[in-house]
Amino acid sequence: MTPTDEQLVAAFQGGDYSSFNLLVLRWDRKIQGAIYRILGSEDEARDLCQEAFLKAYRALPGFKGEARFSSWLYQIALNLCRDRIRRRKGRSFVSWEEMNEVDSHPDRGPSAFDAVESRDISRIVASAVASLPEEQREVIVLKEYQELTFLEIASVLGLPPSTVKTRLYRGLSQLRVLLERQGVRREPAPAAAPVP
Amino acid sequence: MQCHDFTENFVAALYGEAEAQEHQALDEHLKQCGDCRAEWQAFHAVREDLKTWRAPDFQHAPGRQLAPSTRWGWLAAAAVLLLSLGGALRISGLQIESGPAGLVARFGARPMELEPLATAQEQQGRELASLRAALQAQPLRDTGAQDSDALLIKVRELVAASELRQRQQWQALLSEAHERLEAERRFDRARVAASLSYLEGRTGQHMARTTQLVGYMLEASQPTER
Repeated sequence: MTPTDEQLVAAFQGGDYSSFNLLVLRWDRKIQGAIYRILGSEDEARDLCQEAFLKAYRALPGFKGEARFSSWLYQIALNLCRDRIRRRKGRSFVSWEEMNEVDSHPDRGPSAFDAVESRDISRIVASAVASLPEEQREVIVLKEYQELTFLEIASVLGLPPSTVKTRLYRGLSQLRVLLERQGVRREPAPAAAPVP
Repeated sequence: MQCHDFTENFVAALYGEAEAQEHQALDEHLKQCGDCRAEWQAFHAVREDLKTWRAPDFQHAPGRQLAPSTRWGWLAAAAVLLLSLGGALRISGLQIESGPAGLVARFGARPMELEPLATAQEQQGRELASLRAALQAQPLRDTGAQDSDALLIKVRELVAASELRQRQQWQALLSEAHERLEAERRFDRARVAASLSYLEGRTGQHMARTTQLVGYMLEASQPTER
């Protein structure tokens, strides 16, 4: 039977330090993915993921289990991301303004429109997410890519679930505008009305 | 109810986390509100677009080939440095003691070096004890002041000879310990210097690689001649 995170944490706190390896194997790809979506850099995702696990290793003896281990780990990773963004002076990896600037200088390279024409929507989407305010970007990443529930996101961010939903709504609204402006979304996708 | 009153239901339903009641209320609203219906469809479309952004296939940390330029390279180098320093401190006999002035770090002799000193001390203690026994064993005779003075001089000479021998032994032992410690410190300094040199080498390689990459980028950013 696979041990739960909580069991592994308890084993670690009881002196079985090898149980931390299982926690790393279970969560490192997820954490790297989250950091990558927030910072946009593969190298930084690897570096900060390692740093997050180092911090977790040091702090785990004092972990009280008030939140789930995964939420706590995401908290550590997000704090590292925020520190890194502050160090960059708020500069994201590819800002929306930079993409538009590229559009006005065709000699510099492929424009956003070229990217759309070549069906490189992924790049546009990445830039659109990067251009979101940090608080909206975090919620989008945790919900869309990490597939956490609203309650889990609320626990990670220390916010009421209603605030999480509001931030997500604003983030999606902004993404809709940005993507439509770049011609990514021509026709709204058919979507059924919510059915209970 | 106004449209913005449905914001939370809207988002919860979009991700399949709304309660049945919330779903029903939202459904009723969407039937009546064209703007919210359009937004509902648009948000679904945005979610589809978001799926197109794929993250790299990150590997598990233990099985990954770590590039020297990553933080692990630095960690490894730092570990080497720390081990060297740790070794140096251990060999130098660092002692940390808590006293009235707080924690005090002190370089001193290791327990192994104290052993010969302790042996010498024991030997000297035995000599003093035998002297004391000899004095006590000497029968008290009324030999007059002259004999008494001669005995006192004899004892003083014995004590002085013993003290001199002790000092010489202590000096020899301390000198030997000092020389050995100095040699070990020189060796450890050399090891630390080698570690620093290793770190500098890594930095140099990293800078060279960065410079090369910047060069490529500059070259690539030049407009192509037609």
